[in-house]
Amino acid sequence: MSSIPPVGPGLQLTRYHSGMSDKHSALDQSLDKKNAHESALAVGKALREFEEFSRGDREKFLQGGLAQTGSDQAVSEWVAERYDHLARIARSVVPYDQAIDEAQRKSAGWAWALAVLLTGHASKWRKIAGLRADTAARGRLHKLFVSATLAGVHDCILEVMVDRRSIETTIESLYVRALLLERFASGNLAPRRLEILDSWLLEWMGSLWLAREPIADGPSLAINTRNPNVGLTRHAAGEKADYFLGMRPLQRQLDRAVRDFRRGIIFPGWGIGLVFRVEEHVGVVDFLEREFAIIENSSGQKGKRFAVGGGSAVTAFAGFNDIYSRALQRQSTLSASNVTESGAINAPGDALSAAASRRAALSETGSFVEQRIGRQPVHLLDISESGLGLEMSTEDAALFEVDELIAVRIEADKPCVLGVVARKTTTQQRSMVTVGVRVIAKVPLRATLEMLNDRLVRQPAKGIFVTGNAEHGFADSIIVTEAVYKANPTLSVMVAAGIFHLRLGRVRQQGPGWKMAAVEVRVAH
Amino acid sequence: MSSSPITAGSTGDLILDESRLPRDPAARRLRERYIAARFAQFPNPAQALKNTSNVLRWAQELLDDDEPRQAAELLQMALEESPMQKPLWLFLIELAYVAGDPGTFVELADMFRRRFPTAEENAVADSLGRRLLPNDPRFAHAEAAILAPGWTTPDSELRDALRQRKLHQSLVDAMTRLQSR
Repeated sequence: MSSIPPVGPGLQLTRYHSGMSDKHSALDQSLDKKNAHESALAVGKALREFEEFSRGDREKFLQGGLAQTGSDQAVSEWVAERYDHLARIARSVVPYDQAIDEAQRKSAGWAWALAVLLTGHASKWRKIAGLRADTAARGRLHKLFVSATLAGVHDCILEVMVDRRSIETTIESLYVRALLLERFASGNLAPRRLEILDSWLLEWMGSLWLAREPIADGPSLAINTRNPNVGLTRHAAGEKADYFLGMRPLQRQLDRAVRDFRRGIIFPGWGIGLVFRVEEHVGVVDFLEREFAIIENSSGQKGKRFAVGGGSAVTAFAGFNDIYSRALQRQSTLSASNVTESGAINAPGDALSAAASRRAALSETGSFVEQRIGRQPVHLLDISESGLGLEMSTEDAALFEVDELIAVRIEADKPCVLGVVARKTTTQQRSMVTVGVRVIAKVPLRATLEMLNDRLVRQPAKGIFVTGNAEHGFADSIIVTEAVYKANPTLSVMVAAGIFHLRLGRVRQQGPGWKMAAVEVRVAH
Repeated sequence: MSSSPITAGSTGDLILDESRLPRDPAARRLRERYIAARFAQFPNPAQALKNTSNVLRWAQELLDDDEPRQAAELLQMALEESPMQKPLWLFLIELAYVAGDPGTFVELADMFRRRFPTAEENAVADSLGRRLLPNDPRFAHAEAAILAPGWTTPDSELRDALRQRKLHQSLVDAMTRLQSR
């Protein structure tokens, strides 16, 4: 009953699919789990069979983009569930406690490799299907890797098959691949790009190795195998970590992939991602560059890392106006001390600045009396430096369209994070919607602006500053409404103790009704 | 400018030579589609890579956006299409110098010297090389007096870096205050 399912216009769960599920259940029950090698071989065979069976479904789902139906979604959830099941079976045959002699190294190692490989596949497909991340996955991966290390098989060179391709690897490299997928896929990476990223990681296996000591040459990520809640994360002094992953080898691999594209070659030239448009591949290049830059720029900045994990309730705000007036009420460029000491800040005769600061002061005062009502609490599914995933009801999700601005208060009394909705997926299992968010500012700043024209007429305007990392300041941006941008005004704003006249430069990002433009400072007092 | 290296290590094919550019029409098309997608913010980038002033302006914009790797890639691709665009070589050399990436710097300086052996800018590159690699014999005889080259900033782009920096610092201060609250 597990022959390849018939291909129609859309995806559909058929008796062939349930036949495949039944086959996995039968395999689970029939395995002699004390015989790790034979059992692992049987699971490997079942995996290859499943990959052949589901390849058309996977390919079609990933190519479907936004035009997916409920039945497409059901098939993707079924694929995720199958990988999950196979991963469970693979883990159950790992010979955790057996003494491994030299002759058995390779065959025993294969059981571990398969379990780690499948745990990675399962995590990836949960993300692709928009399902909640399995919170126990990191702990399972740590356990598999630590036990493989104790058994002395973690660095044994093995071959695994992924979509008909034989890949030479080690358990250590597969472990790093699974953790990187977990980290990089948080929230905002679209399914096609996640699939491409995975084929790149599988091709880069030679660079996915860990060091026991902190990496001196360039940025790195750290692992604490004793903490099941955390995977690959930035290392801060004083924090426990027992393994380190250097980023330089990965950056070099990315450079090679880019060179291939420049020569007109799609990297790596195999896998489902081969048929995706080149824009999707470029999206992965951009994504990885951004991630590497975040890791590099934030090394050692413990305080700036998100301090919460998945599962917590958060508050989300949609759209420029709601974000400006409610989410960022207390995130103004103007400090309380500026407001009370406005006379000291404004130069004599600077009526404009005085007016601006009075208006800003009123606005600040208002923030304390206005009742702050957020949207219904939504759940944080996962979070990384550059993105987050939220789960919310269909009704709430209707407010958050793709490309819309979104602000999320992750921790009470902490600044709201500002982002753009990157993807939305409705899960069939619980009729909930997952919303992927690309973070554009961890601490956006609300600015009370005045638009100036040639006749010195002043009009109030709203803006949100997004501060770039570069010290030169030319990477700083401001988000304004489309109407303000079109008016092409000179804007006056007070930031901390300074008064600045700004012009709006190039548009860096935009969405419905808003534009994020480069800031050009014309006057600074 | 960010201190991120523009490439991760010297690999010997920083800029593809003519013989390695795709000749097959399908590969050529893929390269052009890649360029169009990678630099989607610019109009017809694949066709404009031989326009030196355009490429310089775009590279500067990418640096402003804190995208030094993308800026370097744009310059490299433009040089692959038309390697005689001297200002682009100089911009790349300066980028590698500012990013503190000695491997890339040396490779680019060597490539520039081979292509423009009598160019007066070789002396400036040597001077930068001496500062970046003080113990490297290749740069031991360079004049040390030459300061930042200022090769690349177009005259029309008169910008006040101090004002921009002041706003940036004020924003960072405001963010720090919020985070510590």
